[in-house]
Amino acid sequence: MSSKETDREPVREESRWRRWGGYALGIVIESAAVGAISLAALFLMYLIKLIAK
Amino acid sequence: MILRPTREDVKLIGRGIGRVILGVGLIMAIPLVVSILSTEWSTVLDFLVGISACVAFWLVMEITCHVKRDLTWFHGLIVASGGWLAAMLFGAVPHFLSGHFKSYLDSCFDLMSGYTTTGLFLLQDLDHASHGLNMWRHLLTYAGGQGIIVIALTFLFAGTAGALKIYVSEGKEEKLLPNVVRTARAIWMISLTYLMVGSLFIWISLLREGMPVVRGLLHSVWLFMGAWSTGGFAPQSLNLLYYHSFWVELVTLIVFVIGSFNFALHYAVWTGNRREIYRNIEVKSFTTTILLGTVMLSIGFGKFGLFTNLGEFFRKGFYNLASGHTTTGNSTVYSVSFYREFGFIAMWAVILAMAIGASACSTGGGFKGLRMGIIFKYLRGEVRRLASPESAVVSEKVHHIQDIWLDDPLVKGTMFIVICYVVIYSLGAMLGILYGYSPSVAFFDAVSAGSNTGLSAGLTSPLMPTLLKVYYIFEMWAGRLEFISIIALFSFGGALLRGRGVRRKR
Amino acid sequence: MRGTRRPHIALPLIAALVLAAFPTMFCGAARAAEEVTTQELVENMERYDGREVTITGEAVGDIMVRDDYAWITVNDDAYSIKSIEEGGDFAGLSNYGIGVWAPRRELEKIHVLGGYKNKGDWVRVTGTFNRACHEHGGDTDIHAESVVVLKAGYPISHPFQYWKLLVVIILAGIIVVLWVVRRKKIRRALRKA
Repeated sequence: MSSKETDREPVREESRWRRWGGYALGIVIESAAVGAISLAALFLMYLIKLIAK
Repeated sequence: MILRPTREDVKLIGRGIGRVILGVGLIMAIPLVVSILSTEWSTVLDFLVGISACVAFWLVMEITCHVKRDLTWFHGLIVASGGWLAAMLFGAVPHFLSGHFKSYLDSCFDLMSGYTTTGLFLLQDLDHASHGLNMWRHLLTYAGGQGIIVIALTFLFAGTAGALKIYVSEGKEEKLLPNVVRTARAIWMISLTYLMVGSLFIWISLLREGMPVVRGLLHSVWLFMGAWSTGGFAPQSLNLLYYHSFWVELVTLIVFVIGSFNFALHYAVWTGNRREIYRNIEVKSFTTTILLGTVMLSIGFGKFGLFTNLGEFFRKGFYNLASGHTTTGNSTVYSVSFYREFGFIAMWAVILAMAIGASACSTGGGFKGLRMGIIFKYLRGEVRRLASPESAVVSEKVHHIQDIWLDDPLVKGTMFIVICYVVIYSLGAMLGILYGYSPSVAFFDAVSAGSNTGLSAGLTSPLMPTLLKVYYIFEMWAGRLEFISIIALFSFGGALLRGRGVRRKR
Repeated sequence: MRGTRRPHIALPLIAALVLAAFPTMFCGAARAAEEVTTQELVENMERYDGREVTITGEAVGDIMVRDDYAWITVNDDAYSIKSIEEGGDFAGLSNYGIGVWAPRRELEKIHVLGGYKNKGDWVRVTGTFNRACHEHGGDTDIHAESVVVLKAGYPISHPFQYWKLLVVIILAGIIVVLWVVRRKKIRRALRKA
């Protein structure tokens, strides 16, 4: 039984790292999405200013 | 139960509300600690009174409402809507004791505004408010955003079947995980992680912009809470204009847009379903409507001629438009500037963005992106149906974590809620116009209240007519709970009255 | 005869025309900076845009230093005179103030900033009002040339409110009683079961 526990532990450690790594990636992706929307808006504003001239 | 409420029903609801109030009292411990650390002894007393009142009420409910049964779906609805009102009354105690409110009604207004993450406020002399009071104001939006009911779920209802019922009625229908209590905990995990990361980035920006270290830390936490919850509160009267900083504005923009996303979306993206970020109907809907709003706003700015370069368009235009669309309410201009410095077209771009609002199952308000997506697909489907032969089967779907096929009940329900919003916006605007406010200003603030945004064009103030204050409280409450809970509450009350008292169960 | 009278009429007429065309010549420094309130500025931005103004009020919040310049917020509402924390009357608003961008050494004169604990320095700021400052991303602000501290700030006294402590003690007593009642009820219910 004790060998089973020690076998399981490194796997659990690794999955915890992977889990939080996944969360961090999630934050990056969501921030990037907002960045993309903002850039698209900036581009549109630039276009309209150009056309208005 | 709807037709003839029993004494047991009333007790069940009473006990549920008691637990919600206990939750409120427990959260008050945080501003209490902040006041102690800031040596603000009057404020410490304010919170001690508040906490004691909450605990006393909870005990009274526990004693008088001792019932063995479990909550049903309908009880849950009543506790959700009634619980908000009770939490408003008790949460207003520290506000009122601070002395910054002319009346208890004004305090309740700020409480309802905080819990519903609106952000309109009647607090006077904010620039001389204590750290404890500011902590409470901002915490209200953070906690309110996750739903005071969800708090109760996480800490007080764990293990009881009654938990499911309250959560659903809170206006959040998605279930991230099968077990509802675990769902609430997942929501908290996501929010707390963002709290750490977001506050850190804001703190760094503030330090870079010359804020002192400790005050910078407090401000960063408060600004994060205000932005993430799409509440829009800030610790100074000038709101985001106080900082005169592009970087702080940029970080808060990113925070409040992410904060306006659906929690199911966060969970999906965080746990491996990365593609959801661009497949999701609400992200698509929000992107579409905000870019359309940007076009309208830019045209308006161009015609008005005040803001000239791209930086100004972004910091004064897009920032406030996004703040409105996500129903946050942080602003980089004075309230009256929406009316005087924006021009008609740009002002209405913001009003329409507020009306449409953010994502479902988030802290945002308004019609919601999901409904806009459903209505758009429905209209498209109708057009296709007209163009197709009689025998053809035309169906539309929206992708929201999973594919949802549109059917008549779904579309009907969607339209019903949208109409409800339009009605409360319009009634609020009409009231404002009757009181003599300019129509654009009346619409701006009424839509802001009903969509839980919090931007103001100058109408909302401690001097506004009492009837408007009361109506705006109703708008914030109804808008946040998406009407279903409110209707349930009123029908329960009506049934109680019709039954002429409570029937004892044999 | 008629010829000699004409210069008498012409001179005052010419003088009046000159006065009307060049008023600054005769008003001197008075026109350079108009004494206004923030509320007046904010509600009439178009009129004051680009003009020299003087505001007098309380320095609140934080001085945010950015290289050689810094930001300060100056409030001139009723609360800047007597804040709620000092026992001031309600004025029906949160605050009215404006951001001031000034050279750092000017702002180094300010020592006390207004907030919960302190009444801030009372300052007079003279500078250019901008409706939408192009240097600062469209912010409404004042670019100050001079900042004068008229009166030093001071700590606000917050006397201990004993009545609140009494309320806490009473409520605590009620809680203890209710707690005991509740425990008794639970014990009774368990015994029945």
